[in-house]
Amino acid sequence: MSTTVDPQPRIILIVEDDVDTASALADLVRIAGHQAITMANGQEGLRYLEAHFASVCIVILDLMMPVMDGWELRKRMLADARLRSIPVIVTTGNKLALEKAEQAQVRLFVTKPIEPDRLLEEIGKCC
Amino acid sequence: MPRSRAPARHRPPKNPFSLLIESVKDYAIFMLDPAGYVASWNPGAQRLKGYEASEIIGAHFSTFYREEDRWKPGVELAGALNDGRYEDEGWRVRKDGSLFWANVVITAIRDATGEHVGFAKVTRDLTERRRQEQERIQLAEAQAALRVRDDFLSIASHELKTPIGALRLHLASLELLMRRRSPDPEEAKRLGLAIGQVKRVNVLVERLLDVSRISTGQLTLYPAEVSPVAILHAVRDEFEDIARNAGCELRVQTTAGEGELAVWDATRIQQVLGNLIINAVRYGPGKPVDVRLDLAGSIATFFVEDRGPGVPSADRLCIFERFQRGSNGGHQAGLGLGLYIAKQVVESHDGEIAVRDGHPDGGATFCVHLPLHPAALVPEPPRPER
Repeated sequence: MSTTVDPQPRIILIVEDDVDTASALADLVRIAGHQAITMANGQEGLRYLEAHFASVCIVILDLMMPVMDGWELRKRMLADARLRSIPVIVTTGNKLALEKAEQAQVRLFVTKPIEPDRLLEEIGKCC
Repeated sequence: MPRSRAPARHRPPKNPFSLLIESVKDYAIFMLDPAGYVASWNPGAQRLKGYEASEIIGAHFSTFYREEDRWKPGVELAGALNDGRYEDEGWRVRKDGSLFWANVVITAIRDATGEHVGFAKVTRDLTERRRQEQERIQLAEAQAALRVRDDFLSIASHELKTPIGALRLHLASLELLMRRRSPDPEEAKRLGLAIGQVKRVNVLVERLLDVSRISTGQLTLYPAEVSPVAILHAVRDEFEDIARNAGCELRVQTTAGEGELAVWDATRIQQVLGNLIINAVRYGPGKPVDVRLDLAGSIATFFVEDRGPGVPSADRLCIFERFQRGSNGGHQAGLGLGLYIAKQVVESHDGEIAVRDGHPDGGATFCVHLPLHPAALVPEPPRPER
């Protein structure tokens, strides 16, 4: 009988609909020494998570997105035992969303434009 | 082309109907002969156009038209003759040369045999109604223009935010790459300046967005229980470095305790104080900036005191208007929106903001009075954004 041990999760999943922001964010975290993958909306993000949940060390999640928004993705993650414990950083253009989202149980809220130092510090703790 | 002429052939007889016409003062009701010469005149016509009956009977009715409209009388009579009735609105001229906006109905009059014997002309003065209509139209156009401006501000600001964010991230990537290879200090300095400018652009865009939200009534507040003292300290932590970079010592003091609570939108109140501090630093660089919090009864008052040139009395109201700034500070960068936004946020908390002379050495003191529990605000539980 053998036990399989998940490899240390290393991938940062960026769920962001703006292509320029997503690629700038992915560049930054790669240059900082991490692996990153980008998904363009909550639905794509959810599909990726369901297939690769063991590899993802943190999700950087935009809120306002087409098809499936960030709140919905977060709700689905919380409802799924495999995904519930994956840390999430929410990025939002709306500062006021910060105060409205205690129940989303996320690790960190950052307002756009994202302050890179704070983001990288938090990523460093999880990945 | 008034001309002398024999008394009209078709003067109405003195019957009850003609007495009625003569009693009407709000309408000019008179007869024209078949060629358009005035044949009768009522008190309303005298009141409206200014002519006595003896002055105008026998004159051609084109007298009542502006020079550029002298083509109209012939068309109107022809229309009335052809269709029985002709109605028009337009400018007409009084005896004294002043203009009024008239509604005119000309009716062709025929006798029992069907012979055309003249025209009845009824004129009403609609100048006041037209003025009100014009005002309504102008107001509607002005409001539409404001909506276009606000929509533009909102869309432009939102659209600008995204590339600013991406630019900030790219600069951070560049900073990381440079750190890896012991960068040239000059390069590092330039990169730092570039990052600083991106942050500044972002602040400006945020302010435009706030103005747009205020203009469209979408400045939503999220009130919650907060400690005014905690806000004071948070503001100090946030702006200490900015003040220091301008050579200003940011000093905060209060006699209030942390346990005193208010129901405010803490983010917005911090923004108000931040705007005042940035203003103080901008106008009084190299000199201390004092921020004080007093609690008296149910009112909290924040004072932000600088040692700049002060605000002249004449500017003390207008500096809180949009796109305004004091005349006393020489050329200062910015959009002139910080104090406007501060005032709107303070007033949305049922508070007041004012400026007065500051320190004896010169400068201005901005005072923000806020009720601890504004009637307008009820704390709400957090809600997810949709």
